[in-house]
Amino acid sequence: MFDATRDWLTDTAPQSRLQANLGRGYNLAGALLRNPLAALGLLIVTLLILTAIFAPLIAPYEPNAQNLSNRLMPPSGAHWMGTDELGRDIFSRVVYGARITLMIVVLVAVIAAPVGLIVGAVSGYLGGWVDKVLMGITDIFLSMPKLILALAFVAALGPGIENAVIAIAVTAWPPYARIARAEVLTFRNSEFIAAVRLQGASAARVVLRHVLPLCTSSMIIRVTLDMAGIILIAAGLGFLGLGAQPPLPEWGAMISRGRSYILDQWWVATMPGFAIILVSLGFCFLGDGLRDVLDPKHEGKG
Amino acid sequence: MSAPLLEVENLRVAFPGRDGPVEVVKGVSFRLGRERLGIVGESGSGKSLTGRAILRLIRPPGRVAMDRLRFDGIDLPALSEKGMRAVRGARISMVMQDPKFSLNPVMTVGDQIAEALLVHQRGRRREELRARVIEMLEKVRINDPERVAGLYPHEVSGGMGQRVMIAMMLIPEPDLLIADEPTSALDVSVQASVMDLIDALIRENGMGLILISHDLDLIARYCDRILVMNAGSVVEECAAGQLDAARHPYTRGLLAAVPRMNETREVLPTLDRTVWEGT
Repeated sequence: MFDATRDWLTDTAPQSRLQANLGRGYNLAGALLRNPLAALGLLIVTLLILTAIFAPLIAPYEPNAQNLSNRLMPPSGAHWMGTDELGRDIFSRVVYGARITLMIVVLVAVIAAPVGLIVGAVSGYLGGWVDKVLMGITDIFLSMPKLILALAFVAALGPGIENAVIAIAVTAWPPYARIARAEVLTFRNSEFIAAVRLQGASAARVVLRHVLPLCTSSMIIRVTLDMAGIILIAAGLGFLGLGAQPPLPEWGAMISRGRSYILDQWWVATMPGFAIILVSLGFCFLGDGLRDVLDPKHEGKG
Repeated sequence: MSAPLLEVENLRVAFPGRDGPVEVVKGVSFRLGRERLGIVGESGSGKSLTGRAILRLIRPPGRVAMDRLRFDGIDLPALSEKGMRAVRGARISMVMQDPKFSLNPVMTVGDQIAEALLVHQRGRRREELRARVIEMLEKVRINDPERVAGLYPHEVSGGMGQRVMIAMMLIPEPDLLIADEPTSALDVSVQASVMDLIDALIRENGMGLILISHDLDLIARYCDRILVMNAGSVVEECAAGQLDAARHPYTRGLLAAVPRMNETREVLPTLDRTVWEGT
């Protein structure tokens, strides 16, 4: 049964488009999985997503249930990662924290990537003073350290997850704009863009229908690679008390609470730290793997 | 000849150079009815720029000036960019040189042909669009149009790509087609079939054609009238049949340099550029 399916997928003379597309997907997935680091990254990210979805089933305790008689217990069979200063189970909190982290990452990607893509594409395609103005703004944002800028925005908007997401998105779009612009410059004078223009298409139509689709593949890879950075900034904001507010189980905020006990009760700050490292690494590995698989220039090398 | 479809008078295109602007098209004038006009000339003689200047598609820093450019009673230079977009594609369209570069690599062939229709008329139904695309692909003699409509440009051959390009440019039913070296990227056997196709479609729809090429034989065969360009100006204008009677030394030189079937000359003559004051 499995063999038959695989033979059908790897057929070099596919009978239908569907078969060809599925076969291509199968080959890409195979290439991704043959790269051990990428496979590890994919595993970690999948785990993160599953954990976020099934958090209530996985977590043994309520993330916010306090038990003051049980505070600051070391890791044990009952509390795998120990308990914090209010007697809350750290493992349950880390599990629920996956939801917050994933939400921040996805929201930032959904906001920042399209904004950067459009700014870059418009700037690259139109050129002239539009390019100068848009790239000037982009440079202003790029010239400031991301975390500091995000801090300033959260300080202005007020702490909270939504504002943290907005602040991170505001600081995350400029690199995408740069990439999209560079990509657009390589084909803005190409014949097929001229062909669309002489069909009478407006500039908006050319950018939206013909320029943007060409930039998306490099954008997807870049976004995956940036996920780790976004997680770190979100955790940083949480650590400084400007991201998720207590009692939300946000990893950065948890580290911040555990800092006061780090010498005697190391697990309070360390466990969420491990979660952050693991998930950032996962996204980095996956991004690298995707780049190698999707970039045709690397094909046939590895 | 009927009332002129296109009138061009003293068309000039200049690009800035280190020592001031360099004129690359120096006052080209011609009139075109619903007929087939060929423009020949060597590389850099301004043939393609003339074609693009008519559609006002020369990007800055290029500068275009003309005394008169009228298309079917419309004064093109006076149109707004929006008005110009309504002319491009719908009334005048252009087939470009190499299908490999002039088709969008990430859009299917069918979508790209449909795009030409969508640009000018919105709100068509999906099935209707698809039917028009298939019909157009059949017109350019593509076998199995249903399948080809779903292919990406890298999956079709050069000749097929050029047919697709022609389909794309003819689907809005323009009055004038500018073909800028439509066959120079194709091999000889495919060339003839693509040219026959363009010729048949032009006759069928009663359109005007401007065929830009450096191939004298091709132009002589498929055009009614010929303009010979050199260094940005028209040096000779004659009917296609009378090319042999051309008088300008440049045209004569070009003709002499064409190899014949039973060649007896050891060395083909090259152009003697001192005979006229050209480049």
